[in-house]
Amino acid sequence: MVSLQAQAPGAVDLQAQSDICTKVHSFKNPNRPPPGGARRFKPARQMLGDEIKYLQSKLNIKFDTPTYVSVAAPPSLKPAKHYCDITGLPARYKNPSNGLRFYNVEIYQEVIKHMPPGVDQEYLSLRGANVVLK
Amino acid sequence: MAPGQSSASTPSASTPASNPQNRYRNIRYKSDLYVDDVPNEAYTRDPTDFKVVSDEHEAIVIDNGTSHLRAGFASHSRPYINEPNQAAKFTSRKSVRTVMYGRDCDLDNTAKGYVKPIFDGDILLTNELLETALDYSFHHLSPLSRPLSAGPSAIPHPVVMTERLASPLYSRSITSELLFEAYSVPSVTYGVDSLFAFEGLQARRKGLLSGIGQNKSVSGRSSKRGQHGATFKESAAAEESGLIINMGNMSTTLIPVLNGKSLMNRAKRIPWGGSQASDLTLRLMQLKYPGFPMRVSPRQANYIAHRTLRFATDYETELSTLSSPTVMAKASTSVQFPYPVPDVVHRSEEELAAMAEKRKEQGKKLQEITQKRNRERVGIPYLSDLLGLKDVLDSKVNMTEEEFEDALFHVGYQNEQELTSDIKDLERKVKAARLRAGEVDEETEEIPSFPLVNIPDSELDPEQKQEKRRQRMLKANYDSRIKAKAEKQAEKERLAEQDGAEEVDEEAVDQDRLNDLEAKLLKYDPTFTVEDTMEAISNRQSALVHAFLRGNELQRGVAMKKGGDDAEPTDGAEDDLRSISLDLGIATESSNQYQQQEEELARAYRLHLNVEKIRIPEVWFQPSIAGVDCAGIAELAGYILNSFGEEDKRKMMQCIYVTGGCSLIPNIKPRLERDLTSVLPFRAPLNIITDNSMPFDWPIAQEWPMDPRLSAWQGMAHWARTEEAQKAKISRAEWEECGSSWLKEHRWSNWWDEGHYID
Repeated sequence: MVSLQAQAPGAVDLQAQSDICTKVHSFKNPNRPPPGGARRFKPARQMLGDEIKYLQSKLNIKFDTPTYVSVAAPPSLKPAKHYCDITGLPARYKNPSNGLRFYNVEIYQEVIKHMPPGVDQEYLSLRGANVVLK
Repeated sequence: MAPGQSSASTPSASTPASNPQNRYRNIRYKSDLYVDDVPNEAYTRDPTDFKVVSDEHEAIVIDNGTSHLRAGFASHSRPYINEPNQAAKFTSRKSVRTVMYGRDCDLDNTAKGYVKPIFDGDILLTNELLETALDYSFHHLSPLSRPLSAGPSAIPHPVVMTERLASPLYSRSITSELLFEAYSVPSVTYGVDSLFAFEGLQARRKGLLSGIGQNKSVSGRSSKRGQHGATFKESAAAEESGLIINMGNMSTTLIPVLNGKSLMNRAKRIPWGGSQASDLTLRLMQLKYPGFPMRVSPRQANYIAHRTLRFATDYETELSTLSSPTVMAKASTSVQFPYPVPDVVHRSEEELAAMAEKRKEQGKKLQEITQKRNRERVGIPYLSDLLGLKDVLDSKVNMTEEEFEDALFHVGYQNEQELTSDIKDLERKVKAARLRAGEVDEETEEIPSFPLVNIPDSELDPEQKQEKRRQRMLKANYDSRIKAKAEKQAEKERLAEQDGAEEVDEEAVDQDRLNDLEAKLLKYDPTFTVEDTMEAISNRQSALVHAFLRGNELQRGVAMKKGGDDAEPTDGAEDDLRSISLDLGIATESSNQYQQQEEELARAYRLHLNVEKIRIPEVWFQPSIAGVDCAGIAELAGYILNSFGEEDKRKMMQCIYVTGGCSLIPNIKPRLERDLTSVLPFRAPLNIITDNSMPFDWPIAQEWPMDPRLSAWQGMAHWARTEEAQKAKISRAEWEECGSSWLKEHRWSNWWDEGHYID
């Protein structure tokens, strides 16, 4: 049985493992053109933006042509249910000062009241409701 | 990590302290899950299972996923390569460029810090990392292929590869470029991973493709599969229709298939997958236990998520039952992290007494040593000077005037006055030094005498009168000093008295009285029970938060009471408390201090999951919980299905196929069934198929017939040998002519609009 995990970490020759990815392999094209050419690295957002521009320039594109952006799921038609930000139980109340939702008075007394500053925003960021200062 | 184990009677003394597993095992309180350094799940492969390929037309099949890359030859029943799709590139200490791929990244601690996934989120953005992945795969595959191991400067096999749903053209273009230019592959074919899994499902139903472990019996499942087959033979058209729900690592996709053709224009993607779920697990744990003594790594969070999460069949109902503290406590899963063993030695009373005695003696000795040192350093030089000068002064009696003047001159003085003033000075210094050295007390300051003060002026000569005036002044000075001192002392005492009064805590007194009263009530009043005590009431008031944070561990108040010696030991209260604790499943009597301390420590290193177990997977059905603004799986599935005509819908409802790694989260099938029946036509037959009956801790790819993590690769391997696959091949010439992101459409591929994509 060949198992990579079977070897103790200390017994592994790191260089031998690294060679697998660094050495000149026989199956690789020796006359390969320099990779990438003039292309520079694009962040995902820019790449998708460029692609949308390109696709919009096409004349034969159909209205329902699936693209990376268009297959994104539509928003829900159901009203969003509210849950306690701390425990996840159904939220019946909302703290007016910071918008945290909570299940009952106990959660408020024991957790929300003693919250250090900033933690409420962290809880809110879990559901994307935090205040983002720009 | 752990301090050296003492030889005393600790429970873990016999086991090596370096092994956290052993340390953990000795704790009385057993937790449900133990998390330590969690390596990537091992993938065991036996080379004899994989026959050597001699045909160069046989495809190399690569499932390039965001979490794992699987690669192998089309004729094999399972992939030879199955590695986490990650690489670490760095320059090591010996300034050697080191590149690690897959599980190898775990081998080195430096490499661990440099690990990067091949994909950027859900998208392939650069082919540099992909090249590492392919180098690794082809290197390991080459011994399995005769044409490849012959050493041509090319890959002689065609390549079949997966893409994401609606993969950006850019990603395809960089992949093709790499395959054709670096590896000179003869041809490449692309398709969508979950569609290949669907192909595999269909093939398996027709009996064209067996399970993973061909040689093992799959009795339990084969009958079930036969059942599916029977219903499907009724209608040939239904055979290739369905809705594929792929619960992937970075996203979840839903693709409808009608009459054997995928309808990509109606496919949808939810930006939520296993990786996001384990991120959420980590963030929830960090917020729940802000003071956790160690850093929980993302991989540990992933490990915890894999073993604890499950879908709630009816989320709202389960939540409302969980809102009771007792139910929540029972539903909790405790997760233990390794903790350092406390270095405490249990000693008998005599030993303790001996130790205290020894410590006292040592303190005394130390004090003496310091005193002696201080004396040597400060006292003696002044003292010898003083004694020398005093000798000179004393010798005046036995000397003539001249002799005395000579002696004075000898010690460096002009006259007697200078000598006496210096002696006084030195006396003051010596006294201060003695005080500092602790030889004399401040209190023993000698009381100066003022003999002339009380003698009337008439009896004194003028010189004495002057001296009397001086003495009076000195006396007044001295008296006022003494008075001030006394006042100060009185003030100090008064303050101390006040403080003492404050220290006698009113609350403690009240508490004592309350305890007394409650004890009496418990003893004599039959209507007053343990439940009615103040402590029980306050515990009840914080019971939910306690159950949420600490699961079924004892509440601190109760725990303190059962351990405390000052609590009333004789009456029934103690027994009642004990029985409560026993109900909670924990033995009350603490055998020794060491264990108690270790338990405390273990408790600090323990997490509890309860609501989170269903709260996190619920995001798939209600993405708004995690702030993702889109419809959940069930709503979206209903939306897609309802957009078809009645007949098509019925066909597709016969095969709702759930695949992808996250379909391993238990209970997905009943949940989906429940949610879909509510959005689909009344009493319409619904058939949900998953390959998730496999338990989570099952060793990957062993004996289990269907693994959702491998089903895409297997379907693809099957498809690669069909006629259709031969037609969909993109040759190098075509690629050069038609553009880098060009694609030949087939049933399981992404869409292609004619045109060239130039980036």
